[in-house]
Amino acid sequence: MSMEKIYSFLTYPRKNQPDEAIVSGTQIPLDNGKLCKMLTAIFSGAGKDCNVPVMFVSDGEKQANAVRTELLALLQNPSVALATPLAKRLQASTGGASGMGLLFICTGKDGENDTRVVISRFPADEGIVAEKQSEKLTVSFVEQVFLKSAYSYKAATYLWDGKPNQLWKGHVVDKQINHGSKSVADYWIVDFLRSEFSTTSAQGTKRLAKAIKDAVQATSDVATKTQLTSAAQLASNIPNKAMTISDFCDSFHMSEAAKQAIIAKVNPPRLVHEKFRFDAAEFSRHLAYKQIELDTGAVMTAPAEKFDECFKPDRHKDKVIFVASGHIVDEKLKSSR
Amino acid sequence: MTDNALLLEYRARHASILAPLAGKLQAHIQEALTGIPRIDRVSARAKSPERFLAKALKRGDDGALKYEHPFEQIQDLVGARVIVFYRQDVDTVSNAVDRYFRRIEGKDLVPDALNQFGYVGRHFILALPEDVVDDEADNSKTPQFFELQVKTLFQHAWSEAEHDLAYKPSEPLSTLQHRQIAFTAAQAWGADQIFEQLHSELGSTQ
Repeated sequence: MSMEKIYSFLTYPRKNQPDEAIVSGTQIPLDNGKLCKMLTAIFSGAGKDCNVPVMFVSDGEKQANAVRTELLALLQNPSVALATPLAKRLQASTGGASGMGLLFICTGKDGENDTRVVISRFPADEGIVAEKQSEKLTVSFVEQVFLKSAYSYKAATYLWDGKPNQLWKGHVVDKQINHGSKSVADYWIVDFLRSEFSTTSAQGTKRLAKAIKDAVQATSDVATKTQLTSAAQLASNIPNKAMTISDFCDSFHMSEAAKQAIIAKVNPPRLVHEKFRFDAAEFSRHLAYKQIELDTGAVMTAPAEKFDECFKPDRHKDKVIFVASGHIVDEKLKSSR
Repeated sequence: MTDNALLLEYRARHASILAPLAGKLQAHIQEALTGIPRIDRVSARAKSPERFLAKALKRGDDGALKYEHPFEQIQDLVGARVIVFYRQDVDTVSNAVDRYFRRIEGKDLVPDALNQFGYVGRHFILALPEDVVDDEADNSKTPQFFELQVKTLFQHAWSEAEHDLAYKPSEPLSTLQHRQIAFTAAQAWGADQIFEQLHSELGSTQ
């Protein structure tokens, strides 16, 4: 993998400002300096660091996306002029909360036939520089420091093989993907890249719900079943958050056995780490009811999120007495559970 | 690549990648549409090697090949169909498609002129869901997209018969034959209109 071109732009927050501001950009010569070394590391590591699959959103009936078009133009003929539309787009998508930033667009070879582009944004911050020269220490304030912040760093990478109809999919890293403010959470993927997660909310959530359901059926360990059903019950309270199936298991501090029971039911296995935005309504659609069966033959069923309200457990050593109260509205005889 | 080499390569991909993929995709779509009423059938297929070659060798008005990279540019190597009872059901299924799949194209196919009758259907070009691609799959040979058609029973019946007839004639259709085909299309369109109306009037809004 070899980086061949580096373009850099200083971008300001210009969201919702109709006048198109000038963007200052430059091509950075490749040398052995520290900046190039750092950018080379980002370029080489992008395939691993950018681990969220995204896809460009098509504009209506035609197979078109403005960012994809700009990216293709840049990849076909790399230049500051053709990188500038992306910088202008970033600037027009940047709100006050995200502030000023330094944008790097790096292109180069990846393997024999592919070209890789890495787009990364370093947010501006304030800092203090301390320099020690012999016995003297100099301390000074710096107004514009651009940091690869652990809390707000953003990057995107795309591989292009030069053939038509490609470059719809890429990968990103966005440390603010679950930011409390929607405008900040959507800034990089939705507003700037005009993209979405490759997996829709409904598909990712359905995949998770199905894995839990299958795991509950497959395991014979009561403690594991309890963990899985409890997590499913509590899931209705999860906000519209970006997560992976692995993240879901970790967020409920599941035991290794419970986590592995879920993971074993995800097919293909790599999708355990695929990001999607959780959809509580979709989840309930697939895991609507919780059922408990006692060794006496009694079976209790209730809506998953209300099960503990419907059946109050009272534990006596190894036995449980469930109490349910209400008006009888229906009775059924069934041939199976 | 020569025509023969192209056909051989496609045949190999058809057997090892595309046909198994179509089977998985059919099951995946069926699962995504579970619970939606009045779906007559869901099917998926890999384009046959003969049809692929015919499409790959198509030329534009300038005489140049339409597809320089047929494996990447032909987006219906794997195609799926959802056949529904009524026109309202096309919308219901389309909404579910948008919930579970990422699309790069979605359009209603209708005849060009208002006084013409022909094929009507909703076509999507969708990203192949990751769920149907094995971890060991060769990504360089696995298509990124597939075509999904959503249409009514009447449109399906008409297009199947029309498609069959289109491959038969050794000479161009006569004026009467053109009119006969348009007439059957008009009847299919009319039947869909009446059933849409009846379905609405009889109060089933599901």
